[in-house]
Amino acid sequence: MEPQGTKVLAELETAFPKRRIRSERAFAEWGATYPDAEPYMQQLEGKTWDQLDPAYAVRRSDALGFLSTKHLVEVLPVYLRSLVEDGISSPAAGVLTQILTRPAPGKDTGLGTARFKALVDALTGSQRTAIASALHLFSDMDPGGSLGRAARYAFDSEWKRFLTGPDAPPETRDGRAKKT
Amino acid sequence: MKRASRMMLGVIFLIITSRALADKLSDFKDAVSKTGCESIPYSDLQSDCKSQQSNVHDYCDGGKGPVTCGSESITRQLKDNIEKEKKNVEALKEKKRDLEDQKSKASDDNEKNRLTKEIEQAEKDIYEAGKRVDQSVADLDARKKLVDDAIYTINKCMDYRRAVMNIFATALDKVRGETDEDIKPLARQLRDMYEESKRGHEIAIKDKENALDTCNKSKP
Repeated sequence: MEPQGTKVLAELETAFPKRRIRSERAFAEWGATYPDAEPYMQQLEGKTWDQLDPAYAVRRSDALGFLSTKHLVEVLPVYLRSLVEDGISSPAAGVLTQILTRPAPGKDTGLGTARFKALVDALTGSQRTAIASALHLFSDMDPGGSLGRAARYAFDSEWKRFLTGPDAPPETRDGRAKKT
Repeated sequence: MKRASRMMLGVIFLIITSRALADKLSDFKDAVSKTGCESIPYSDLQSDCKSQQSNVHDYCDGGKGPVTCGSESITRQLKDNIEKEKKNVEALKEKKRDLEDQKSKASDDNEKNRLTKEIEQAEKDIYEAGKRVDQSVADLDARKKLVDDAIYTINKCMDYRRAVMNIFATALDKVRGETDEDIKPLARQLRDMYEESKRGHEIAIKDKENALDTCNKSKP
């Protein structure tokens, strides 16, 4: 793996605490009709995010659109890790870039405006930065492709502003410079 | 006698109706505490939902064929590779022609021997480069097959996902139409559950629409 990938994985490890997930009510808010809710909840129950079976999780990436905000935050690192490790082969890339894209004004796409805002609000600063790093890295893996463009669009729509370190892309650093 | 029979029929009808209503109420009570297809209180729709969801697993999980084409850039790179290898073969053939020309004009035996060896090497290089062209063409053919297979699987996957979503839409219409006073509060709960989780189905379908678009752009 490229050094940048290793760095992003380390960011994910640090930003997302390894707490035991209680799967009860994982689909109560937005996912009552998710047909795989029961088996997915069984997979989550009592495990920390790094103990989850990544193959199962990414195969069921459709769960991301149904999960409650709290549970979405808890499993997000598994899917972000897949972006970094599996690149464009990640089965989760399509759904993940959709739910991480802020709906454009007047368009209630992806999670929808209210749920997207709730997601961003539920994340810590370091989690937002880790998401930004993962999306940015993934978009660089597929610059001319649809998945890479989708990741770039998601990054630009929201997460770019959280990436302000020395490794941030030039346009982000410019943005920070203009603010100060 | 006739009156007694009519009364008896009326009682039987009432028993059957109240029993059916009790069963229906029980189905609704079960449904509000369940998730997925089991949150549908109508047995026919619930059965259809489970059947279509089984097809979703078959076609969307990769068991029936590829469900992603990766990036369009893969096809582009494979095509570029063929062109590059073909140009390489042409360049090597040109080199060989030059060497043969030089050899025909050479008068010195040492020079002729050297050129003969270089021509032999060029022939080997042409042979190897030709094999690389064949391999590149085979790679592109394999890519074409993967793309075609993925387009088929993704279309089926989308069809079944849409079928599941439509079953919930039908269930939503039916719960909206419930008029029994005991069932109404449960029907309202189910209505909210179905409406709130509709977006999840849409996201999953959109994901497959995007994947299909990528595959269509990936055709060689």
